[in-house]
Amino acid sequence: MSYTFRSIIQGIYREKWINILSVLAIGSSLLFLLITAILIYNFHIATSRLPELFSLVVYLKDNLSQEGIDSLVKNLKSREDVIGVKYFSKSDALAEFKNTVKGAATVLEGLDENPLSSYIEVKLKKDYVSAKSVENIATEIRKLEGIDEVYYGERIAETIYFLKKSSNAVSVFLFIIVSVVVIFISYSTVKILFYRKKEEIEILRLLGATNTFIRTPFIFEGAILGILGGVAAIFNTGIVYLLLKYKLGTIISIFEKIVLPWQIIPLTVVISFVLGVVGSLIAVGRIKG
Amino acid sequence: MVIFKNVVKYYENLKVLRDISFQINRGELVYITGPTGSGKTTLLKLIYLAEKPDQGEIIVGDFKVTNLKASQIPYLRRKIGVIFQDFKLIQNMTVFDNVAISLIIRKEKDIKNQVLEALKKVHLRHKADCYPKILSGGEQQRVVIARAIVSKPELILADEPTANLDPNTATAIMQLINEINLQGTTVIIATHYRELFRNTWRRIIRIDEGNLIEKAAQ
Ligand SMILES: Nc1ncnc2c1ncn2[C@@H]1O[C@H](COP(=O)(O)OP(=O)(O)OP(=O)(O)O)[C@@H](O)[C@H]1O
Ligand SMILES: [Mg+2]
Repeated sequence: MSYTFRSIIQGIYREKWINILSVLAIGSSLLFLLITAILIYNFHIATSRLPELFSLVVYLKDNLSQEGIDSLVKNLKSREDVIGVKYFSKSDALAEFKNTVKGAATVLEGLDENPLSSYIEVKLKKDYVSAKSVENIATEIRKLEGIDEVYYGERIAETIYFLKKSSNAVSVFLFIIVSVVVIFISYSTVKILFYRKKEEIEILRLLGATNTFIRTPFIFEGAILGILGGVAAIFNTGIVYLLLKYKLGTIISIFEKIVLPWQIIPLTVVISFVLGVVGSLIAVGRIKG
Repeated sequence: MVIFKNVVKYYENLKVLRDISFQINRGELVYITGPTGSGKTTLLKLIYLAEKPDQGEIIVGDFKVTNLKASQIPYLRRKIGVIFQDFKLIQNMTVFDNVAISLIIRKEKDIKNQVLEALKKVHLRHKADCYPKILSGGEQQRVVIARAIVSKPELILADEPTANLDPNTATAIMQLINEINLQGTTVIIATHYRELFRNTWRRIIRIDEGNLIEKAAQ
């Protein structure tokens, strides 16, 4: 053990530039992955409440009777994809309009008659807010009696749905790429360290050292490179996070709300540790005495 | 302890050893001699499996060296202490550590005392903290000897153990090796230096042009 320990310390100290370079390279790769992951994570948080806000607006024909409205509301409420239904009469619509659009009062002043239609706001269950099903639901609702038009933000629904799906794919893809990169960095660094000690290793073998005895220090070195790379990445991620939140956040307000999940800290260290070990295992396994 | 049966060794086209057979018993001390380039070092390398024979069979203790599994090689080597002709000291380790590594590899305890005792035997106790490169040739050679004997192996292979020593030191070292042999360790000394075995009653194995010429004690 004392040999192993000393050999590790010596390996780190004597080849410090190679090791520092390697830690920085691992750190930057992981930093890149972490920042992307955090942005995607925050995107998911930001969009997770959108389906709740998402609604279809069903404009009614002007001549629709109160019974017609009631049965329509009842009908819509009974759908399994609908979570809430709210009716707005012509005057409600006008009040709402005046409320949301500043200066609307002056625009509407000259008109004798209320130009707005009465409408029903239909909120969908979360699971149904994907581009395809919203479209299907709208088509079905359009077929009902007394409906003038169904409006929904196709573009928004589609875009969010697409971004969610693709951001998941991007995270997985990036994770794989960065893992391979980190393994490769650890692999090549340990291989260099191994070759630099080739003469010593040859002597140790002649004196009766086993493969395990010879390889162990290198595997520890790979592990340490991984851990230090992970720590460097987290440190820098922290800095980037603070900059985004407190510097950029004052300019672009959405960054004010950015969240850094703390679980990412141990997770990164564990993952980079494993990747470092895998790299060094490949390196020492490949080199036969 | 060491048995060679019809051993043949080539280096590419060069046939270094042709049909060598001999047996060395447990507790013996045997000289292997022959002119430079005759294959003495090669013969020793075959024993600790730094080289493999092209034909024939080699047995060392309980190990059938000829078809030994790779995973068993370290355990064969731990039975043997080699005094390498070219030293093979680890340059970035102190004298103490160079000797200690032999015990660490064998997972032994009480390393410090054993190392200091071995260094005392070769009169290098005061150089324990030096690095090999500042030592004289003779001092380095004695570190190699200390490393070979410290683990008290069953077999010692000494390849020109006195090549870099003055006559007095050489005599002292030979005396040390003899003492170790008298305690039961089998010893094989490879040397072209006749002075070493001029008056010996021990067996001498001579290699000449790849053939073995056994000589009885003089
Ligand atoms: N690895 C090798 N590859 C090719 N040829 C080799 C190798 N090792 C030794 N030889 C050759 O084999 C022959 C025997 O070498 P060896 O070192 O066994 O001789 P030796 O008897 O120990 O000589 P010396 O007394 O000078 O130490 C020499 O001709 C040498 O050049
Ligand atoms: Mg030789």
